[in-house]
Formats: sequence, structure tokens, C-alpha cells
Amino acid sequence: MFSQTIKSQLIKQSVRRYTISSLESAGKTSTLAVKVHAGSRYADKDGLAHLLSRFNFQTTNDKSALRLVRESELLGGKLESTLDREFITLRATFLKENLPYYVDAIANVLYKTSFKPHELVESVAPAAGYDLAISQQNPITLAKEALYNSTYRTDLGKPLLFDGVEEITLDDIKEYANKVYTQENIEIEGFGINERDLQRLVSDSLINTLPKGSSLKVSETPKSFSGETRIRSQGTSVAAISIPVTKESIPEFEVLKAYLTSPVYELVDVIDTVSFEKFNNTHGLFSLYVKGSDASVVAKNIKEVVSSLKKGKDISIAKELAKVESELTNEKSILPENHEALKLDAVKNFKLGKFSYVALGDVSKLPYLDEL
Amino acid sequence: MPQSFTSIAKVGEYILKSPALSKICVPVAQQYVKFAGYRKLGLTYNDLIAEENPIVQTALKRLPEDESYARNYRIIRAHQSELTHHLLPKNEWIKAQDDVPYLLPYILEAEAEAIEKAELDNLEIVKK
Repeated sequence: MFSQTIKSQLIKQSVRRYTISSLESAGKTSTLAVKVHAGSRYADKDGLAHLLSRFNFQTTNDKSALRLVRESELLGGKLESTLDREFITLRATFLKENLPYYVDAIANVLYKTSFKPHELVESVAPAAGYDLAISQQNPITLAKEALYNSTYRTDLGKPLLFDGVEEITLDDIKEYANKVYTQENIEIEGFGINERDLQRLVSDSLINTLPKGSSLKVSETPKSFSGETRIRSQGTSVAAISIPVTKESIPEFEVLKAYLTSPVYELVDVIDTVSFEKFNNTHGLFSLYVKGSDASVVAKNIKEVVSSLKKGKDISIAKELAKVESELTNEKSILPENHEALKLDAVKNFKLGKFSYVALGDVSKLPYLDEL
Repeated sequence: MPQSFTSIAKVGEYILKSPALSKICVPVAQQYVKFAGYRKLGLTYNDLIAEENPIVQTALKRLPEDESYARNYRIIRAHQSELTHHLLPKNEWIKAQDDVPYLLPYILEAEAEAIEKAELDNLEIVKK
């Protein structure tokens, strides 16, 4: 679909205070995403962001949740609200001509969700429980959660999903919604939408009457620690390490990720997943996972990987690959801040310093942090 | 078609709005309440609504905990009084200002949802 982009003209314009950016394409579908800086790192209570995200597209003052879903189905569109550590993203995918309906629908959610007490019990909480159950099935997700927690403790280290440990009332959710759904705190992205149309519709919609607040966006790198977590569980064993990344070393870790996932690295078959998540393009977390059903093999593999990285590696060979990969992601993303070209020239050697470590599964067979 | 709570509530509102109708109906209603005698057993009018249908069940589920407790207490007390063939002592009779429709808003909401769902299920789409 992206190759069909005829006009990749990008205009960033601030109308009042929220940011609107849009990319036109020749396809028949459009995507509208409203990104709110309201992810789990901003929530005062653990899991609050998750519940708010699940409350999106519930009953609003104008329209019941059922009617919204049915109408959207008839128009052939799809509404979803997703959560990560930084954003709650309200995303609508629809046929081009239905843009006004979906701008209106999302604006209604932000402005007028009615937060009915029975919805929390009857639909939001079960849906949240379902998300949690799914994420707990995946050992990599569990390990990632633990890595974030031991690396950052608070802020990014807060749990992503609602697990019922902390009690959350409907009033907490309402208060959080009032705090985060403000004009300064949202970014509107369109794909396959004419930029002028979107701007006009948004300024006519309720988004324009959202209360004024302050942007919660965190740009400075949060304090990081080096820790160890061990979780006993049945099934697959995972050993994982993570390194907090500052703004200056983002290019280095982009290259490292490309290097570790390409066949030039001798242990590429051993590593299960390499992930590098960036936040607001100013900081991020690099993590690496080794997974297997036999914990002793996992132990041997993680030791090999860590010792090979500790020796120091010349990763400059992967520069070109990293460049291509980052250009590919840039082509897909709309937010202008992601369009900065990577400054890869300075990248040469990588030597593993301090890191956090998570062992999950049959932990008696997995090594400890000081044994790596 | 059985009468829906929504239509009953609508008729009630209409009667109360027109002065002439309410002049006739309100005293009749008061007499009805007096002779029905449920207040003398410590019940409110909403306690008498038949609960053996999905809509009222939904409404009861959504009732706040304290109100649900009070409702159960009133119903058990009324049963006990009936069994012993006694009325409650006069000071425990439900007063007119305490006889509030605590369940009705929940029933109306549940009913509106059910009606909306039925409408959307039987929607006919006409292509222009």
C-alpha cells in the first residue's frame, strides 16, 4: 500500500494546540489515529491507563457503544484503542468517504464518554482481564514487562496492563481522562487523508472544544537502574537482557539491532527476539531475548551472547542495513519527529556495559546476573 | 404486546404534566397505594415489580450494593410479617417520601438498551 503513495507530501501544522499531520495516498482506505500521551507511564495508579484505553468507544452521551460498533460495521470501518507505555492510541480504519463520521466518533469518545458504572463491570473489566490473560501466555511479553520494571522501577517501569493489584474506581478513571484528554496532549495522525480536509473537520469537531491542559510528554531520559528479576513459571524458559538508551546513543542501538538480527552476527540463530522501543525519540530501551523449552540450553546461549557482546564488536558493518530499516519505518510513520535521518557515521564499536537481566521459566537452571 | 416500563413511565410523565389529568389521577393513585397496603409491610413500590425477566434482572445486577441490601432486607421483613399475619408497627411503615422509584431508572436504561439492540438487529439497509 505504501508504494502507492503518490504524494508523500508532509505538512506539519499546529492548529490551536494539538498537532495534525497527514499523508495522502491513492488507496481507498484511510487511517485516522489520535495519539494521547496517556500510556502507562503517566498513570498514577497501576493499570489506570489500560482501563481508560478499554473505556474508549464505550457509551458516550450521544450514542451507545452498541450503536457505534454497528454503524461502524455498516460503513465497513474498524475502531480500536491500543495502549503502550507512552500512548493511548485511538485508531479508526475506514473507507475514504466516511472521514467526517470517524472524526466525529473519535471526538465524541474524547469529549463525552459517559463512564457508566455498569460498563466498568460488564464490559471494560472483562476485556481488560482478557488482555492480561493473553499477555501472560507469552513469555517474551512477561520478560519485557519485568525488564522495564527492573530497568526503570517507576515511570516506564510501571506495569502496562491492569492486574487488579491496585484498586481502581470509576472516579479514578474519570479523573485520569480529564487530565489526559486535553488539547495540548493529543497528536492527530492521518494516513490516506487530505491534510486540509482533516484540519477543517477537526476544527469543526468537538476536539476543538476539548479543555486546555498541559502536555504530559516526557522528553528527558528517566532514571535507570541495573537489576535482576527471576520469575518461576511453567513452559518456555526465557533469559533476557535490557539496556536503557539515551538520545545520543539511539543510532548506535539502531545499528546494533540490525547487526544482531542479520546473519553477520555468529549467534543470530540463538537470539529469539531483539527489540528496541523508542519513546518520544529521546530515550528508549534495547532488549534481547533468548528462549527455549530446555532451560539449560537457554542458560548456555545467554552466556555465549552476553560474553560475545562484552568482548566488544565492530558493528559498523550493519550501518547500511540499519539505514534501510529506519527509512522503511519512516515511510510508514506519519509523525514528523520520526523523520529525522539517523546519524550513523559515528557508530563503530559496541561493548556491553551495565544491563538488567530477567530469567523466566525454570529459573534454577538459568544463570544469575553476576554469573553472566 | 406487554406494556414496557418505558411506555408506562411516559404515560406517568404525561399525566403529571397536564394539571387536569393529574388532579384526577393523583388522588386515585394515593387511594390505590393506601388500599394496596404494601407500605404497611415495609415495602416500596419498586419492590413489587416482578423480577423474573431479563430486563429487571439486568437492572437488579446494576443496582448499587447498599440499595440492593436495603431491598433484600425490606423483602425478607415483609415475608416475615406476612407469615406471622402481622403488620409492622406504625413507626416502621414506609412514608410517602421514602417510597422512591430507586429501581426504575435502571430498568428504563436496560429496556432502552434492549430496544436499541432489537432495532439494530432488525435493521434494513437501503442502498441509495
